Amino acid sequence: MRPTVTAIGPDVVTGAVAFTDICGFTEFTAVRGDVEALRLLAVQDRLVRARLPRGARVVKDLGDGLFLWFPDARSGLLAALDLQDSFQAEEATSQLPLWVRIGLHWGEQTRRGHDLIGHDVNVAARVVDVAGPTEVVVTEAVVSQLALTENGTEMAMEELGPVIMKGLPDAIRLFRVTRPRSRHPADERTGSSRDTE
Amino acid sequence: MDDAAIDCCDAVVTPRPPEIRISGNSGSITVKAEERSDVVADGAAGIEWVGDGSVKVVLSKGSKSVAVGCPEGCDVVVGTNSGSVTLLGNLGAVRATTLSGAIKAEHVTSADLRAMSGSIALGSCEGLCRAKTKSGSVRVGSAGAAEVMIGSGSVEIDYVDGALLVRAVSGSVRVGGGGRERMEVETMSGSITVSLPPGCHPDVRARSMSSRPRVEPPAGEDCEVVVRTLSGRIVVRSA
Repeated sequence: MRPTVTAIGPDVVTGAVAFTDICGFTEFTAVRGDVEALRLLAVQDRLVRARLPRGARVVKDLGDGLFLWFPDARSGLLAALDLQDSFQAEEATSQLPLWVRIGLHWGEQTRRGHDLIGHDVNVAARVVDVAGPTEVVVTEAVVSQLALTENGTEMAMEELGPVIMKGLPDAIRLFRVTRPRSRHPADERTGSSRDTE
Repeated sequence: MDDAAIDCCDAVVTPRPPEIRISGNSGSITVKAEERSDVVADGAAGIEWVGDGSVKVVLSKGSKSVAVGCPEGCDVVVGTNSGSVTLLGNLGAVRATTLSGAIKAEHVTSADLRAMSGSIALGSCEGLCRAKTKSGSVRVGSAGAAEVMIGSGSVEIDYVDGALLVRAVSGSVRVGGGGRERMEVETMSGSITVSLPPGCHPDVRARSMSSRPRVEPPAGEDCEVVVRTLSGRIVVRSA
């Protein structure tokens, strides 16, 4: 699919903005130490960069989170779902608690050097606060973009309702998005044995 | 909350239990399911029958509290900035988010309850109960299945019949399960206690970085129990 980048002006672009955040990173660092914390961040960074679609980029490293940009809503959402799958697969093998939550919003952003700023960036940054670990939460703007391009069979959407977020004057409809096959995160895990350490 | 029916101001009559949609900035929101066929609101600026099967309760500016009366079985969607959300009686699927304020629900068919800071209390939920709070406790009486995500605060679930997933950053977790489906509880720091029915023979995977887990029930294949903590005590026991 060709990226649908739209140049509105010399400094304004449209696209999907995602924020990721590792839940409990402060506690993890306190318990396991800085070396393990660095390892956790390195794993997140590796998995994210391996799954960024063409045209997407890491705008900024935010400590235990990332600010990502995607040229279209669909690729951004599919990448977010892929990331959650990969985080859970990694956690199952490495035992690193990759409790990552992701928020995604579609809109306009203004360039400031390599950075992007603007109201729609701020909205995306608030959306991630509503998501829980392993979740992908998106705004109605993302859903509207998807509706323009496909029938949405690749993903299941569940409305969370009109959500009021800090610093934003109006409620925004948010949706929790999953792949249809994985309604419960636990369903993805397989294998068991009695094992106490 | 008293038992008196809400009887007041604006009302709309709907052909079947509608979805009630409420969003407001501040002030407490109470929705009470009762034996009635209409939807009424006390303290609201108005009620609109949207026509897609939902009723929109329009809140006044400021921090006025609102009380809504509706038929039993209504789905409810609430979003508020600050102020408590209280859902009384037998409701359908409920979804509520609040930035600061507690969420309380009595009896629902399914729930997605999210608070940034504030506790969540749910009496009973027939299906999946999903609860998330950054700081505050989560208390659930019974649920068909549950997913709980919490930053700091305790988690107490008396009984989950089906699958359970709890992720808590810090705080103790105490859960009881039906012993038939997978139960998974993880904390960064905080003790975990899982209670299973007498006679249940679970397949347990338990890991604590700070102490040896205590697993009381004999091993078996009745259900899978996965419990992990970086720092905290783990107990798996028969109820």
